[in-house]
Amino acid sequence: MSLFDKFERLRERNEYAKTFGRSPIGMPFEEMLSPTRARVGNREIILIGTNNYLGLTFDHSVLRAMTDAVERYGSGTTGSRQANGTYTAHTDLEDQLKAHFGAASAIVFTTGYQTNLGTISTLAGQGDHLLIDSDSHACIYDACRLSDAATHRFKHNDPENLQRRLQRLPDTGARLVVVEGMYSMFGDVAPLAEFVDVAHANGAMIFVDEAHSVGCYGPMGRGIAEEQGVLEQVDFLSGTFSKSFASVGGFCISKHAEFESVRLASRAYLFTASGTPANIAAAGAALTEMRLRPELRQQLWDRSRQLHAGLAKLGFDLVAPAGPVIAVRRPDEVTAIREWNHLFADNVYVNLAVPPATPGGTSLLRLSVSAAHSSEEIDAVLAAFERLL
Amino acid sequence: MNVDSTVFQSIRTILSGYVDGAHEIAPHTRIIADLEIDSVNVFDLIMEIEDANDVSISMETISTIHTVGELTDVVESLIRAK
Ligand SMILES: Cc1ncc(COP(=O)(O)O)c(C=O)c1O
Repeated sequence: MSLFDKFERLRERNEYAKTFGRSPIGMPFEEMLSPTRARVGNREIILIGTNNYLGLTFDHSVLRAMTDAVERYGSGTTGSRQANGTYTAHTDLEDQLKAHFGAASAIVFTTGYQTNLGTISTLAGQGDHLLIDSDSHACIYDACRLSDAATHRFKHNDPENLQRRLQRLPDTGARLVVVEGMYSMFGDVAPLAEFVDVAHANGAMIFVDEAHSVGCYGPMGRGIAEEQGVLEQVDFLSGTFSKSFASVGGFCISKHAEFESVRLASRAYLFTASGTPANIAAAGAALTEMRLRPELRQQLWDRSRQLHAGLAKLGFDLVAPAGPVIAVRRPDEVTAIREWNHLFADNVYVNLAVPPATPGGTSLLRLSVSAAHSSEEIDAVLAAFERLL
Repeated sequence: MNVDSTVFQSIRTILSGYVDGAHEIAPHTRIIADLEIDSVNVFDLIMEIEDANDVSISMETISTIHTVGELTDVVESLIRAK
């Protein structure tokens, strides 16, 4: 009996995936040529699976903010937020987020994963009730495991099912409903306005993870809550700097000023080093770009509609309407792995998404569109998909 | 637990919709190991049982349940607590 025995099935699956050619898992890019191109060996690959929705990873003002921050503050913070790891870079970014979302409180964490872990598990404690969508991201599930509250799952994107579950709970304890804005695997969007009504009508607060939707949805790019007109109603909104913000880190904002107390109690905030000055400055610069350049969102949506229409015309089974994420459903895992390899050999990189990372045991080729994609690049991706047929 | 209880009978009826007829469903039957129910289906199964009995079983409780008898006991105690 070894500690490593339990990994045998995962290892076998990983080895099996490699028999189809290149392993899709953790494949290294040798050089990034632009937000949408990478070099692997002597080949130039079109990237259409990078969550780089606004294409800001090579934006001049973002890169400039990073180098300025390195010169002013150095390479790392060497401490946590409550000790020596809070610089004005962090507090400025929190002020910027508060202003952008019209929030009473904003807390910046080191990653998006830690944001959800550190807020959800701290807000809901002993005797409280967490109600989460069944398709929630791994970090929401992990937050529930870390919390002392009782966790109940409700049917994906089903406010009526949530309503029934809320009504069955005992009267004791506080209630927190957790949903996402846009779901990262299928690209489907939550009926958030209905969820807000159901939560509030049943004495619960609502937390929305907008990791994939901030920057992409809403008149000012503030996400699904803004798009559906309920930004002022949601109690907590979290996001990540690792997608539209072209950096690393995460944040949670709230209309409740009392949210500030989470800083005093959240272990994922207290016991880990703060984001590097460069990452924090990049996120701030990206937020400014997001605000001042709505045309980035327009480009993202134009390219998304082009890709979605093209794939539909080729007869591919698309899980959701056009959006930043376009998920192509495949009949089984083997087909998905084989096609991932064909696409890669054809110089196109997409995400391979297979169980258990996907809901309902589905196998997907997952594409994420960027404002930086040219119309020609989308055509090249469509041509590669056509060659799969 | 009592095999004649209406809760056990209703759980047995719901479970039979998730397995092929060859499986015996008794209090000692293990839900995942013996009935070979896919973990993807366990969620739907639990939801159906919750709806039929108008109770909500937390994920923390679900992870402690292995047999049909244990599931029946949990549902019965939730009904009593209402
Ligand atoms: C829905 C959702 N929430 C949170 C995260 C975590 O974000 P980060 O990559 O910043 O840890 C991700 C991304 O991985 C995500 O998809």
